[in-house]
Amino acid sequence: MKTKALGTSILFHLILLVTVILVLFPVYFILQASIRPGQALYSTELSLLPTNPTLDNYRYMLTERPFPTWMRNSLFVALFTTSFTLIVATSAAYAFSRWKFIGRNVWLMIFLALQAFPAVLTLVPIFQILATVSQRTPVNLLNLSGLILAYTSGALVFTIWNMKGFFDTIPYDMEEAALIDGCTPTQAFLRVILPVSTPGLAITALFGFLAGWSEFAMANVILQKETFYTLPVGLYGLQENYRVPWGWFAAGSLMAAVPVMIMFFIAQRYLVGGLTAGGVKG
Amino acid sequence: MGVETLQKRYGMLLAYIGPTLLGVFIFSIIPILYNIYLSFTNRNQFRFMQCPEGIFYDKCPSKGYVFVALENYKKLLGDLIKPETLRALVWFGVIIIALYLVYRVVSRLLNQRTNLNGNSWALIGVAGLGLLAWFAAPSQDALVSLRESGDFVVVMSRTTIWTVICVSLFFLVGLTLALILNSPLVKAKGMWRTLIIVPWAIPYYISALTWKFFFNGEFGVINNILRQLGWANPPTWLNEPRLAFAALVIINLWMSFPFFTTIILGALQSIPREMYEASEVDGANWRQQLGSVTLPLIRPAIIPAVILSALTTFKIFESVWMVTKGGPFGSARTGATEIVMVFAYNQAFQKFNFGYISAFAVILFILLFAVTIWQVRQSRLLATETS
Repeated sequence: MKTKALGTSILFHLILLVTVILVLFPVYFILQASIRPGQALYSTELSLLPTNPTLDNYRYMLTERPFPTWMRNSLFVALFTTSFTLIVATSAAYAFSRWKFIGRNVWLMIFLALQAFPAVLTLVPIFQILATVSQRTPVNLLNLSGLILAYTSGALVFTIWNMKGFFDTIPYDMEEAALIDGCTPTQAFLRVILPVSTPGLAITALFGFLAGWSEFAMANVILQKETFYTLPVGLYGLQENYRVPWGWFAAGSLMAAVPVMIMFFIAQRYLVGGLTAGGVKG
Repeated sequence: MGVETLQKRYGMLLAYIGPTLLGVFIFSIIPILYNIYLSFTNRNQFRFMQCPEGIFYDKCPSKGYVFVALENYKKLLGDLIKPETLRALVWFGVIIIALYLVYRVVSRLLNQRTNLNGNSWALIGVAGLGLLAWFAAPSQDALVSLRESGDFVVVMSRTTIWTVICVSLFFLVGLTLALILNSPLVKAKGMWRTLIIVPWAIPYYISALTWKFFFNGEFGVINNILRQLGWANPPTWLNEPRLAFAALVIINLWMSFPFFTTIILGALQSIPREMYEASEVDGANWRQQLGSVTLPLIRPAIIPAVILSALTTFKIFESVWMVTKGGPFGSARTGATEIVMVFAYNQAFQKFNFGYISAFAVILFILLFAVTIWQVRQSRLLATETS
């Protein structure tokens, strides 16, 4: 019995080890490519790290490419998308969770069903709408602000459904007490419900940020000038050449990936509670 | 209640959900209506006149294209109504219904007469029968006539196969790892869990482009390893239809299994220990425990995740397009990895068949709309109202 458990334990750890190696290999690969001198990846040497490591690729990306601009653009888009999504979607989710009004479930269903439309085919009409507004009014939307509006709208449905599920798990009694004490419904929402919704809000913020930081297709259509490029558009552009400059791409990728990886690991403990609160119960 | 309070309440409701309605209207509903309109026109690359930017038709004469009623729909689905394709559809329908009935009867018999796990054995048997039926001559003939009926059937079946393969793999790998991570025999769980979700945290375009390089035939890491292992001429993965498809499955699996592991692990951790202890007292081995305790208990948490993931996998675009662009394009009319969204993108942005692809999108929309409504009912997502 004892030896059998030991055997199983070894097998389990072995499976985990193999998985982790497969998971980490691309990360290791990018890391070593980013500190390798030159752009070649084709050396057959088997050493774990390149023989003359250098930070040249990072220096090049930071000083001779508009990489800092791309990063600033991505940060700008991601932060505004996150805040708008949080404000707009959380309040809507609260209304859908708490108040009874005509067609409440129908609206939720419609929101979800609209997502069934092939997103790539909305790219042209969305570009048209933003272009029309930019031509007819003094507001220019063919830039980062148009992108933020489009991303926020795109993130609404997932966030509303997720946050509504989360609010549903919070008992009514909590607001009732506040309402009896003389709070307005909005005060009850802001002061009583939001503070106990941290896991849901953390996940909403995380996914909003990730979407703004990493989205490619829409940014590629809407952003026409290189000064507006976000990280995915800029880094993908590096790839389009005949010979891919791997060292630059790797250094840029690493700088683009590390901030979101850190955020992800900070928010990790909320992943389960924040994602499944809505779906699990029942 | 007075009119004034009613007005106040609706005012508040509007303040809460108004911005959402506006956003959904502008960025979802208008684009969809626009596509529905386009689907009745013959807008394509020749109906643009000189179009400086290619896709930005606002610079083009507006009368370049005309209303063609159901022409696009006929082109997409018309060939499905020919006798041989109808026969093929009926043939596959009959086979599926027959296999289902066999499954029901056999699993019930096995469950009643033996103490085997009837459902799984019947499923294995039926899967074998299904394979036999697939390779039978009439099926192959039916397949040929379906394939010739146009892009719609081909792309939709390819995407369905893609979704089934991917989601089953996500689930199997996710479940295996979650069960291992939930086992008391594993040490340093927190560390393993954190390391395993790394692919989820990496921006997908970086993963996709890195994997694309790994699968490169000449310089790719995978072929380098294969050469070191003594395979002189390893395949050029992304240039061969089936291998390109397999490569994309592997890439997608790598990116998606952490989500499943996390969700399933969360569900596993909510199962009370006593349930396992009780089944151990009853003398259940681990397989029986998995079948009769673990899986039924995590089902409610897993079903929504599986359906959600099936929909996103069906609609996946960027990580496929970045790796293969839908190719390799051989003699067939569609590329080997051209699944629906990639097909839609290529038709719209490479071939400019706007009318045609809009009709495709409308049909797809109707189908997926139905699936979405069905899944909401199935997973009882809205049933939480009552609590």
